[in-house]
Amino acid sequence: MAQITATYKADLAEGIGAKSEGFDAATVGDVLGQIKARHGKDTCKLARTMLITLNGLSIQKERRFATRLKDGDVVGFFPLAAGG
Amino acid sequence: MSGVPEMPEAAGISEMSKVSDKKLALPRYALVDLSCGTVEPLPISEQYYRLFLGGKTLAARLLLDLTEPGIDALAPEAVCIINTGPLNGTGAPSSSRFNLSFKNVLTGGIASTNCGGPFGYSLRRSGYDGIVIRGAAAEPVLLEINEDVISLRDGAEYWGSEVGHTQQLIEENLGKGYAAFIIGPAGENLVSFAGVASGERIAGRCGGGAVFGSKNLKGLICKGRSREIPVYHKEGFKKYVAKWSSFLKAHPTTGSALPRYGSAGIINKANATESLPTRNFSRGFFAEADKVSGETLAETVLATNKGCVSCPIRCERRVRLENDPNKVIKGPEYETLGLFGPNIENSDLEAIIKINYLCDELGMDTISLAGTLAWAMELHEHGGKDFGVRFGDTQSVIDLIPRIARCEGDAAELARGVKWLAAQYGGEEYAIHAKGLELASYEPRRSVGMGLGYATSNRGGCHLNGGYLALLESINVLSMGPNSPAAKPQWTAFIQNALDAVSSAGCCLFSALTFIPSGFYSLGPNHWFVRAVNRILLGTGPMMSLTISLSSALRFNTLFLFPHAEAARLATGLPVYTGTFALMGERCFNLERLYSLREGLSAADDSLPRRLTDELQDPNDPRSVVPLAKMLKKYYRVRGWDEQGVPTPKKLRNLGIEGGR
Ligand code: SF4
Repeated sequence: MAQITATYKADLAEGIGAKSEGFDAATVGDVLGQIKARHGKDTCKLARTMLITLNGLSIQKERRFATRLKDGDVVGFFPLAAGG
Repeated sequence: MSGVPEMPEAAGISEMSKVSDKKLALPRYALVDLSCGTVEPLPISEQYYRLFLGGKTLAARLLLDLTEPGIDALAPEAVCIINTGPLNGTGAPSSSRFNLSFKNVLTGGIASTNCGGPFGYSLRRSGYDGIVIRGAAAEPVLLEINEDVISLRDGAEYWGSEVGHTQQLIEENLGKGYAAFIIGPAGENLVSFAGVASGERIAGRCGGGAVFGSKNLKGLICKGRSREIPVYHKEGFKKYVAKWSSFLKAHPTTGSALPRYGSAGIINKANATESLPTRNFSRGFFAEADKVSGETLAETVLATNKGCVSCPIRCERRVRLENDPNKVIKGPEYETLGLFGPNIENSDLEAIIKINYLCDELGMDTISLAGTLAWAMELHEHGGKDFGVRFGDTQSVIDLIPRIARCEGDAAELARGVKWLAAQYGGEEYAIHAKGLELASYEPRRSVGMGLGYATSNRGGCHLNGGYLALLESINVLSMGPNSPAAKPQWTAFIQNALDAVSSAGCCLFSALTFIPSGFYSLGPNHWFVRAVNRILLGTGPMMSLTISLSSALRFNTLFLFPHAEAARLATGLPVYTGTFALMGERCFNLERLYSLREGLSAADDSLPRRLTDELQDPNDPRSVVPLAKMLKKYYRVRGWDEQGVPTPKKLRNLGIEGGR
């Protein structure tokens, strides 16, 4: 298990009522599981569909939800749609 | 003055040429010669209307018709065209956008810019659909369109004034009710990337402001209220517009992300995919990007959002400055945030807001200016000339900007753009431009289709004219092989055509962002289905080629692909369908290409700086460059161009644009 920080934006931050939280988690999937336990199914569903980053970079380049975490990592949840 | 020449009847355009029973409202254009102070009607034939509709397509045709090859962009004989499309002012969503076309000051090829603000709407209500300007006045003038009367006014009083002050003076002197399209000091001083402002929107790119300045034209002012905008099928149009607006409001991009974060919402996405230009495009990731993101802007300085006339999206930011909280000003767009943020290693949001405001007031394009300054910063680090700007030092930038706009001392050289500068001082490999136009804020080594788009865009390094593949590759829900060239030539050509058509209809290009289905956003980018779609898309090249070549067979309209086509059909009475609409965009893209080729550009100009094609973004990832040569060959074939990038006679015949100059 690693001690990590999750940061939230947009609807997720509003729903949770905080911009960040600490977790003990081994993978991004663990973080999502704990979000579900702490904040409920709908909040977790929203989090899963957002752009998720590990230390700023998309987890799509890593192993997505199976991406492993280490102490001090920051997992970011950003709103997805954008254009301009 | 006789009208523009008739075009020969062409194959492949039969659908657009069918005669309908009700009378068509042909566009009304005026030709203004500033040298002799004359105004004449410029008849637009029915065939021209059917083939070229309006906006940038019709403007490209007119530029080819009305100018001799080889005229300098700033010579009196150069022509600029300010025109609208058939949806302008009709109440269709995002339909206040008008067009400015001219010879590109930075590239020597074509330039067309799609601009918002109040001017386009006012022009259309005045009774004119387009104004063609040539010649140069002996003294500064304002061109006034008062309902359907066009005249010249003395502009001396306004010359030298910044944009906001000029707008204020016009209101004080002439009363309310005028919409202005004006330049600031940068245009007057012929800065190569000076723009023209309509309200708080600016036709920024390619140096249109310098073209106005070279003609001693401070701008156009228009009072238009009397004309009823022609709509062919009134009832059907009204119902369709309501449906389309609801569709836009329900879509995650146009209904939620853009109203909430503006285009600035792209920052964190681009950063997460290493496609956010950082330190003059040497990287694609900036650790402090979030400090200048749309989300941070919304949480800290956003006062409200605002929209152009008849736009449900309302993407414009209105922001407050920390030290002057009572003043609310226009906030920066994504491009400005990215290029005056990470690309110059700056994370001070307030400084970017000030820079943006300064550039708007002086009438300068922030994209080209930022690209030029980032090059100057790097040049100094390589031991080259010192223009006094440094990475991470925004004060040096803020101090220099007014000097560039006024062409003072050394700063006058910076006013010529990065291509010219690199030719004088070296550093060509990191002079980040295509054809001479500085690149927008997408790092193409993690969005290679965007790289192809930049290289082939008619106006130079523009993401929108380039087909905006970043939207499919890196900044939205899909992630279509950001480093794979597969299917990119086909998608680039297809979307380039589509965006040209949308612009020609008189709409904002943001209204086309709904083509990614809403359902994908509820699944998210990590869902197996979305990942499968990403892979499938890479195999759609042949299908897209077929779609482009058989587009006239697509005789249907749907909200999901080009909502604009049905609106244009109902507004004009012309048989506009998805296919004919896309074909019109293709006609536009080819006409603009013909103009640039005529003016001396060639396949050699479909290029990118070596940093992007030869230097790996990640030394451990051999795919982190733009494989341009590979994509370009295929792209020419998909477009029906020869190996030199010249449209073949067959392609021109099929598009109905053979002949002419
Ligand atoms: S989307 Fe934004 S730029 Fe486009 S018309 Fe609407 S408010 Fe204007």
